Amino acid sequence: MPYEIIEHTADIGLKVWGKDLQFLFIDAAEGFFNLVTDLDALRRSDPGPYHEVEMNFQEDNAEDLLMHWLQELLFAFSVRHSVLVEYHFATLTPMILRLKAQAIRFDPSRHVSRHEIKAVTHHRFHLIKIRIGWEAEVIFDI
Amino acid sequence: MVKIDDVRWEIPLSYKKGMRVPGRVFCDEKNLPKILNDHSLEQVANVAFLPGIVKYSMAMPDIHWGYGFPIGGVAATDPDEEGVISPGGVGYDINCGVRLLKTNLREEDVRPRLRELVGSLFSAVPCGVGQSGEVRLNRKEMRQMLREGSAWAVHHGYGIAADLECTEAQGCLDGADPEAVSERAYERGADQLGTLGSGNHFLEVQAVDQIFDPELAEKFGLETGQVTVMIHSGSRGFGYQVCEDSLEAARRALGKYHISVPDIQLSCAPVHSPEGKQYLAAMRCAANFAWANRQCLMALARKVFEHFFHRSAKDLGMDLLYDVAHNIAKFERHEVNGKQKMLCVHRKGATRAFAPGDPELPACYEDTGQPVIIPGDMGRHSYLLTGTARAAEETFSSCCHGAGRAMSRTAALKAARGHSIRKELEDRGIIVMARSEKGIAEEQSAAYKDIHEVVEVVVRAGLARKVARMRPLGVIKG
Repeated sequence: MPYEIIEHTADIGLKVWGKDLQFLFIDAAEGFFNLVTDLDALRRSDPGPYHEVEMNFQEDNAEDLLMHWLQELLFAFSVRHSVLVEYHFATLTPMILRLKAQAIRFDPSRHVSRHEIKAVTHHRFHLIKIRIGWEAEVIFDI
Repeated sequence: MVKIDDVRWEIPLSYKKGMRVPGRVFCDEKNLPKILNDHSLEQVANVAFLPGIVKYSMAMPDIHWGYGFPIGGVAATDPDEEGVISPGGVGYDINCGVRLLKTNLREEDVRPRLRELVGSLFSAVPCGVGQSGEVRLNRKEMRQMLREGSAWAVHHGYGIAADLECTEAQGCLDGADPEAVSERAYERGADQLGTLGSGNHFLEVQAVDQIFDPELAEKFGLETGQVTVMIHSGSRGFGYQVCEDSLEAARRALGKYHISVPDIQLSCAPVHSPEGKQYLAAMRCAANFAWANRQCLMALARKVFEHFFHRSAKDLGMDLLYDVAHNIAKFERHEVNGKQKMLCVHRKGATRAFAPGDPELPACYEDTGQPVIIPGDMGRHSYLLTGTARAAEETFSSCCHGAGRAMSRTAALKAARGHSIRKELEDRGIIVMARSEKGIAEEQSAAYKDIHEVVEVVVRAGLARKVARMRPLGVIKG
């Protein structure tokens, strides 16, 4: 698994690994959406066509960029019920993210409900370079 | 930690360089290991770093690990002494709170058709991930709702005028400025008014099963066997976004005000600063959203009962007993070193508990003190308490807010493996309906501290008096 669920007394978190930033950002997104719903079941039940989600933003460093990414995923899910299933990064550097993604519209009457994520917290949040790529940890308020 | 007495512990100033006041933890010996097991005491010490904090960084007996602040944390700052406001000291779910609704039904009136009643509530009350509410507002209406809180809901047919008097702050904080709120918060809140949410939020049908103080219970209109309804929810996506936006603004302003905090989740700004004022104006909008939300949820519950029993809500005696906020910051007058000061009291998983005679209480509760509603977990009891003068002296009139988690969600799922929590509760006469089976396992009784022990600590500490205890009959969850 490119990520694992970590424990927090009332909430839940992810520890994520990626051989490069792109893998890490995708793994973090897959982990995030799997906390919200069953991503495999969703992909099986809705083979397409998907709707497009576009994101463009920049930050001062890779850690802030990851925080921003997770906040964007949460916003896309909360407001448009978008679950990203295909990722096409036009640019992903430690400071810039440009992406066109394909997404499935989550429908609570058809899809598995897991957790309602309220927020991406700064609690213990970090992104570090390790010997074989990148590692991040994040706790979600649920 | 230094033991003060059987239920009071102190984290001395010497524990960590940078603490401005000592920590004060309310807890008994039995539950101390649970607290020592997580990182919440470190968080009590970290809160003591906040500029302008007075007396103590406090923690109630339901304390557990939060972000920045512990859950169960209370901290008051003095705005005249460069005191700060901290969005993390209120939390993501701004004005998460509880309300208790009475009925004149008896347990035997609902027991034979309990499953049907809980099913009707589950169909009528939107709950769980991605569920929208029926109350849709355009931007102009939303702004009005954010300014008016519960009163907006009542004026639009969700409740009666008497509900307002029995709501903390009459269900509206003055100074809510819809202009202080981001576009994103509006978008996240757009379809969420009148929705319960998920996690530990619930709507519960209960029966009063024990009266501790007959005189107070009579004044509150409660007797053994009576059916009550409890609702636990907050400001939904709207409040979460306000917190996220404000935390980011506070984080970026730390350098500007030369504030150093040991945890970024404790980011804060002086109450009188532009960032502080902006957060307060937005937080008050979110608080008012939450009160309007609980008001709409209560109106849905009343409607279900009306249909179900073919009697009007008035005829069923469905009066609101009280509504309390347990994630909020309020400006209140309290005594510090013999002087009355206007303080900014942060309650992060703590309930206001005003003593009898407090001028902010409605006339009907002037003699009794403020009703303090403490929800337990879905397999154990909930409590009704009242505030005391001791709480006014010692904890800025604050008390615990619930049982407090003792087990992580993943540990709870592991513990539930091989047996059905839903079935076990049914065997004990409690019907649970939820959108997520895993959600039931995560919220099982074993994941929480024993509510009875938590309540005993605040009672022994003199922070509250016990009035009555309610037993769950039926629970709906997200």
